Amino acid sequence: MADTYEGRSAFFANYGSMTMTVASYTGTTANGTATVEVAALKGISITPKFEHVTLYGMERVTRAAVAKHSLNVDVSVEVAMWNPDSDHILKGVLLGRYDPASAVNKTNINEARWKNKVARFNISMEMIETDALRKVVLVASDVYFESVPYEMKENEFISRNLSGTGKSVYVTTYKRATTQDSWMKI
Amino acid sequence: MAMLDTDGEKTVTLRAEDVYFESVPYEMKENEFISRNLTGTGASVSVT
Repeated sequence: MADTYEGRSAFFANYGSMTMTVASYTGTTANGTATVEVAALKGISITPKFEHVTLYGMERVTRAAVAKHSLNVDVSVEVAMWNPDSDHILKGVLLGRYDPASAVNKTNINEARWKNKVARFNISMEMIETDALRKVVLVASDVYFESVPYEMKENEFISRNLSGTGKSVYVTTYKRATTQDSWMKI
Repeated sequence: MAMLDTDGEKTVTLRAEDVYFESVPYEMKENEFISRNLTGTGASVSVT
């Protein structure tokens, strides 16, 4: 029995997935395809948000006009598993780059070429409707994280609550092919 | 937003006009349906 109600679908989180990749900082794909190895995802939130300016005048108490500017994409992710060998997020935030050979230490943090660089990531959130006939992929691009918090609490697994800001967002909807198990872009 | 009283005799319809949303949040939380918590602001309201 289908879950769809008049074209409206429900999306259960556990059907979905999140993928994080290193965003290119040179405008090419040469160094922009590395996957950030995280797992045990607890939740993800992506919020495209504009600043709004409203106009009021003395002749009326109701709003006269509204305009928007300055898009930001707020991103928060909680992950409980990551690969400490590559750890792109930690190195990206602290070193400004993703060189796996560079240790996180004071010398590398202060390296003149990189000390003020901001590492960026692309985060893809895939949502599949409960009937599995359509899926929506939302990509937050050029996301930077200001910090990498480590939470070590009694009786709990250590996790990272990452909060970042993206530059833009892309949304693509796919439909499942009727003759084969594949997705077609709508 | 139509509200029917429990006796089923009266209906109140509240209409917020010219509502805009500053953001479209997507929340994907473990073991939950994905939801959007939309928060908007309207220019005016009418009640009938």
